[in-house]
Amino acid sequence: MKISTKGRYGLRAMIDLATHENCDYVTLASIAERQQISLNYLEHSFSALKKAGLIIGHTGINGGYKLALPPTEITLQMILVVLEGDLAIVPIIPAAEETIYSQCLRTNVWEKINQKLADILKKTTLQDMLGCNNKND
Amino acid sequence: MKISSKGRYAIESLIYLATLPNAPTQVKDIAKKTDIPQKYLEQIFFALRQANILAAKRGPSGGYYFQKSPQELTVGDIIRILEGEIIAVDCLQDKSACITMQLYESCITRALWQDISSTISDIMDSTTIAALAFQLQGGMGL
Repeated sequence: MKISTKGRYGLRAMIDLATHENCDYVTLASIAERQQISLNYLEHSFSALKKAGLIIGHTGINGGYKLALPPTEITLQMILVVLEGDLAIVPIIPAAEETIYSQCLRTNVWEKINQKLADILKKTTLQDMLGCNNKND
Repeated sequence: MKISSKGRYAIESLIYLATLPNAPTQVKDIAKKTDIPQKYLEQIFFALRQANILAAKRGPSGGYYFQKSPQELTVGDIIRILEGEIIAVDCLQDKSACITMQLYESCITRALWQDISSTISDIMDSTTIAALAFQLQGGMGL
């Protein structure tokens, strides 16, 4: 029951991008260096985030990445769904395979947890994660 | 970030067990009722016995029964026994698991992972097996 390194690294990289963009494109190499994440790994995550429309890539001399939306409009849910896939605490069990016991547990525990987690991740934006990041500069 | 089938099956089988009078019940019968593979359930029950959650009686009328009252047994207890600490990332309990130690002190995401972990454990720790069994038997909502 853990958040994968893809989710952990990717979220940090997105916070770094939001902190450093200032209208310019930020290179992946600079994010990788500041966050001490392998460039190769970042390329993979950023390609998925770009595909999902959260960031824009630009090639060329001043190329790099920037956010596709203001940080106030990018929720952690949007980012983590791309990096982690489904954020539910248990896999979806087909109705035909459910017993009254698994159903009882799902409705009274798993769904409550999923709901609370979704609430946190949907209400927290990238903007909320900025501000205390200066030490990483 | 998923709870494994081990943890889920353990709780499902304990809910069933809590609907019965507390007398030795055979794993075979529990497996059948809960639709959980018997071999797997035997492994799970062995671990729960080691942890003094269940007790076992040998012999023809043997089986497993609660050593700890289902009223005092929470979902969080079971998950911790079978899956370890309820934490979203390892660095919350073990600093050496930090992936970039130089940034440990200034890590801005750790507070988020802490928040997520507490949210999960709060719900698990406030839900007892007895309450789930009661709910199943048509009791009031939790």
